[in-house]
Amino acid sequence: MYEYEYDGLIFVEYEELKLKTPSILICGLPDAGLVGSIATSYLVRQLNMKETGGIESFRYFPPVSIIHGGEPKPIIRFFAKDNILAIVSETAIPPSAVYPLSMAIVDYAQRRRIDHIISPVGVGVPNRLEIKKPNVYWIATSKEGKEMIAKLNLKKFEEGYLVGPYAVILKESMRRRVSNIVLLAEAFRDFPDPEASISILEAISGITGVTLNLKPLMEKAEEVRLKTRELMERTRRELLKMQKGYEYQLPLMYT
Amino acid sequence: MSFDEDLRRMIREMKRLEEEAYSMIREIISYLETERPMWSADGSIEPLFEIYDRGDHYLVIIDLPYADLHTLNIMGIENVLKVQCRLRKDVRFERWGTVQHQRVFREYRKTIVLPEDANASKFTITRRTRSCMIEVRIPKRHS
Repeated sequence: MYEYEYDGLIFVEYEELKLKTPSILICGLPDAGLVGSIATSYLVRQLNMKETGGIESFRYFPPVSIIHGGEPKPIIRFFAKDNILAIVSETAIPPSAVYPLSMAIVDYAQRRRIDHIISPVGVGVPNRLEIKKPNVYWIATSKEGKEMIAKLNLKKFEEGYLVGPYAVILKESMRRRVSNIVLLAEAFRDFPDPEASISILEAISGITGVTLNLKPLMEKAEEVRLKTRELMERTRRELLKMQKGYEYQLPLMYT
Repeated sequence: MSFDEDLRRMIREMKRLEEEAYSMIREIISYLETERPMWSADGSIEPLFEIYDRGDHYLVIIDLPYADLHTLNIMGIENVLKVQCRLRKDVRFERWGTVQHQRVFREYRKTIVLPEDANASKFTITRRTRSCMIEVRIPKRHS
């Protein structure tokens, strides 16, 4: 077991992490529509990824212990397979944890020589009810990331705000010259949105080359929406404190 | 940037601030309910909802996965909406809640408190059967 601390966050690895290249870190943190959380959890199950560690914090996280299969687990867990490392959080991220956690994730990616961080993000759109197939937009901090995404024929996210942990990961990646590919799916802000997660997973499949069967998620979408209501409600409250409403707004300097 | 564009941007920003202020009030109300679960042992669950201020009316979007929208029953009194809807079938979860009880859920039930100027007795509903959501349009009293 390997442990190290970054600004009050304890990273635990149950075994030595060996990823193939190009190594990819996918962050499933609760955000608008739980898009990243649903997408990453599904990816972990589909690829039968192995649990390899997690993040705990006595300073930033609520005093919660999550029990799975009779064993206590960290609030944020790591799963790995081949060249993919997935981070999944089963609780909403408190605003006080957003900065340290996001910066620690980028630091961890750099320490582990991760080639690309993928951020699956839901971006709330007021007309989501009218949209049958949510569009996915992208932002990339590196030339390599831009090349990987270019083949997917997705639209670039040209103007707007990004609020929450993914915003900090993006800024910190830019500062540290880490490759961060942000995938933004049109989503309900306050309702779990498995359809938006499916759009994101299609993009992740395109980037990584991993084949994903998305039919079970389509079929279980209603069940997912039903089961994740409480996590969505808690996430909504935390996002509100982070002024998530900014994402509905155009920046001043858009001309 | 032209004057018109500038004005439109300012109006959008004022609208956003207004919605945010209302969300904060909702937040204070919901904070008081923080530790209350969104389900009950009697087989009912609470749906998620969003409220938008659309100028002359409020728009409430309610997420009702698994609902049988034919059984939807909404009552409006003053600024309060009472929503009830049966699920298409009993939904059984083998491990639900902290102590891993088996739970069966049969219907949605929710009381939604709207701003004071909402006239909930005059609402109209749009059912979105594909997505299992409903939109409830509630006029404001002064309009």
